[in-house]
Amino acid sequence: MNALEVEDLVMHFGPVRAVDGVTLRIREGSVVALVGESGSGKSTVGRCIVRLLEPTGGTVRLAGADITHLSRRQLRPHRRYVSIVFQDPAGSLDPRLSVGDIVGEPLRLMRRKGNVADALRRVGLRPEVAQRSPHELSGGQRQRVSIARALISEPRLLVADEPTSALDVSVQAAVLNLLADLQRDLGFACLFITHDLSAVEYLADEVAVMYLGQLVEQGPRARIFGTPAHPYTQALLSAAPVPDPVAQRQRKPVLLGDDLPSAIDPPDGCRFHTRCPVAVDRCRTVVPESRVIGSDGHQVACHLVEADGSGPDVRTSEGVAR
Amino acid sequence: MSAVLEVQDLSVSFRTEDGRISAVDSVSLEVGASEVLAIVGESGCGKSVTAMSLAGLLPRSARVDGSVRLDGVELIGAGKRTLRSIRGREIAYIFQEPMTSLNPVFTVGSQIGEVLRTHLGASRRTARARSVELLKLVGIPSAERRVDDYPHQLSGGMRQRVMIAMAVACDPKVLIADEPTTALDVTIQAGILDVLRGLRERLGTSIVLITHDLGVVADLADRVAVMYAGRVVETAEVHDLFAHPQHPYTTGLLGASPAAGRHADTHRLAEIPGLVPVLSEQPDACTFADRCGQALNTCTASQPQLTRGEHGLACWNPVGVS
Repeated sequence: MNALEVEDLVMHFGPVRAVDGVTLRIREGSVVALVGESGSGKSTVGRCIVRLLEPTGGTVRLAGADITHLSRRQLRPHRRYVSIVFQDPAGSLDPRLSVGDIVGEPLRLMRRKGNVADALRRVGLRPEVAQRSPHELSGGQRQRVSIARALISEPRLLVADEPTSALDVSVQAAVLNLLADLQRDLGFACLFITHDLSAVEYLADEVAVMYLGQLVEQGPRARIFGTPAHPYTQALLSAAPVPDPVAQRQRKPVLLGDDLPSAIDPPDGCRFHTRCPVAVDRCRTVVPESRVIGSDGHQVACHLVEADGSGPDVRTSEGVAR
Repeated sequence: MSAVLEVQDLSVSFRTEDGRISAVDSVSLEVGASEVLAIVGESGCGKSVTAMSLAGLLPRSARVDGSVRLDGVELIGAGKRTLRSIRGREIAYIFQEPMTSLNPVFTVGSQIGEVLRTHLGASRRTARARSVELLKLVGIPSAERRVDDYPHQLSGGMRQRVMIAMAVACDPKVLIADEPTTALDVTIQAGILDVLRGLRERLGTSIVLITHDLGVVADLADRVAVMYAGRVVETAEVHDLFAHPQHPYTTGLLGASPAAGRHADTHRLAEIPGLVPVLSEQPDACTFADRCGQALNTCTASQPQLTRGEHGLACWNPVGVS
């Protein structure tokens, strides 16, 4: 049983093709990281899944139920299965409500019973915090409040959209630890949307990489970090600096050029071809289909990757087969 | 090695509605010729205020004491004329968000040219030619064409390259880069770090790099100063600092960042409990003591002074010393 099935998801905003055919599954209780840079459409995918947006095309199934085009009223019974945590806890908590009211609000709307004090305790806050206002709390505490609110309805899927990106590294560590603990203890599935690759390696079971509205590669964490097949994934991993001067100075980032194509007029063929160091003619005209290249579910959308997973590695200077 | 920039006992405090707030307390730093000094710390540690105070960029509500000498010339308390001739010419800045630092109604060429005409008295024609050279230096392709672009026509990475071109137009002795890549994606960041590295190598520019990102530090810095609550708590050569951190705050920061290959199943990120204090005055104590796992009685009773020498440390009970 999958907690989430997204099939050929499309979300256009007028001329902007933010998401253009994303297919993604999340098994019950597993953590999938959706990785990509700004403008890749990863947050839009998250918003379609919790139906803050109604997709232009494709389907979203939560625990088997198609919610793609349900009305607000029809959605209500499905709401408890999915929650979202946003990047900016200050902007997503109503400043006029007490912390207790904020955390308890989903219960009220769903007419369910639950315990706010327990929910606060579970995220490492003292129950007395319920009387406080969000502005009296620190950034890290606010993010804990958002997490408590998201989890109080016992969802089967948590969408976490850059939950630690606005936080300082020491606070980030505490929130990542908390998410890992809660996920292990409560067993919810999680779509972890982020641009922070080190956090991905820490939390995710599987990784899906997005570029300009489409998935270019997905597979188990160890696969993606160990033997990434898509040139973009390879470049992304090579570009993220590691906090170790000895290791970092031996690495050579693949420089892709700064000109990111626009989602209004995305390149023909493979959308990455304008920045890809190993693109060939076919890449400029033919859209690469996503293909399975391993028994572990490793999938990649690149013409240059063979069925057995061999292909170019742009991290080696010549871009030769690995 | 003689220092190009010497900061001694720099203290900065601000007048606010809630009284005086101390932002920087007796910071001493040295930057040698073509050296990259990274100042790291979390929000509110005083790293940006330190950077801004170096060339007198702070608002009037700031009180700045101490000494900042650039090639022996004292900048604290210097007159407007002196500062104006030094800023942009001897000390140049680049900031996090290039769009807010560029004027949207002038071409990038005229903005770089303005620096050259103001400081060096260059003619329009020379300024333009030199602007093209500078754009090439920072790795902008088709510089002859791009020089006539307006900022909105450029990507975020290109804009930051333009900012760097403007900053180094007069071949400054010191470049202060305040979170220069924080707003950029990692594949773009890698290119900008490369440009900064190139400047140091080709022009011999000394760089003060303000950042919260330990990966960026590991990539670019020669020496590191770790700041906490307005004070430098540890300073060392970059390899030495990452291999042998001695201040509990430094070890906390390093342990809080997820490392390659580490997953929550088998590893736990170090957390630093508590919050950064907001100080109205600097106490005669270690400001980290109440968050420190190994604080002694001395730590709350007396302020540890930063030791002199290659590896400076302000701590009564360093890590790894019992």
